[in-house]
Amino acid sequence: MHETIPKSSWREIFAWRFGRRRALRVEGESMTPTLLPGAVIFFDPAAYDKLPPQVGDVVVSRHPFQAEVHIVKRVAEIREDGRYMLHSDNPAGSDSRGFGSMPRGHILGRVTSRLR
Amino acid sequence: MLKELIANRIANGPLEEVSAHCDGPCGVYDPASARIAAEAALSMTKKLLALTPPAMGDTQAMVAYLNTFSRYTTIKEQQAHLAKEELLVLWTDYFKPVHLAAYPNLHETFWKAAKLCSAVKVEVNLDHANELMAAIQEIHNIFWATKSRDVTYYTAS
Repeated sequence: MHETIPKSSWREIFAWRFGRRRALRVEGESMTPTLLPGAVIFFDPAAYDKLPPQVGDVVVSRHPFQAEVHIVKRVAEIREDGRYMLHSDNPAGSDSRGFGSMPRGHILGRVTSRLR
Repeated sequence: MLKELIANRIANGPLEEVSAHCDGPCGVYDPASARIAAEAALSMTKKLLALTPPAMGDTQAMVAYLNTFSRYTTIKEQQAHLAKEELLVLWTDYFKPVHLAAYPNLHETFWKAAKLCSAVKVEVNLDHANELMAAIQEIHNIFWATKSRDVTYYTAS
């Protein structure tokens, strides 16, 4: 089973208040049941400044070929060439199996908690 | 709770969106398309069984009869085949290994349903046409359960 995203703590809310988290509203069902449509998440844009994304992390990433779109997915695999396979938690969701692997530079941060 | 209030206030504010979308077709899979085709095949099966050949020697009536018979057969064949295609798309594109874990009889159910499509196509057999409908209802139930949605099964006729 996929690891869940915890509800935001005070610490998370303060981190957001001081600019260390960004809030985003989830649109679509590809990350259900972890994140339902309409969920509001915090993500840490500095999460991967020192350490690379890990398998199992839920991340915010650029879309590989839709410049304006940011996506939320789970890191499923780090390939030998250093690229990341991002999967949807919902088996029906689109992900790296369809749109391909992602370079690290596309991954913008780690989802740390959800407001709802 | 204060934290909930603040959380809601932030959550209800203007926020950028992050996409958790599916492939184009993923949102529009629905066993209804297979059900409609199977129901058309069932209807044609009933109509074929209800046909009575005209008296010998009435050439005009015989032509009309054979024409009607052929048309019903053609539609039955097409619709049974369409039902099979729709089922195979659901089976091989929508359903994923996690679903199989939750519904261990998934493969058996689809295999049986696809076989019934063939039977309905080849034969004029009311039992098989009804069994196909029942199999599609079972698939309907599994399908919507995997989406955690309560969708009532219905037929057009």
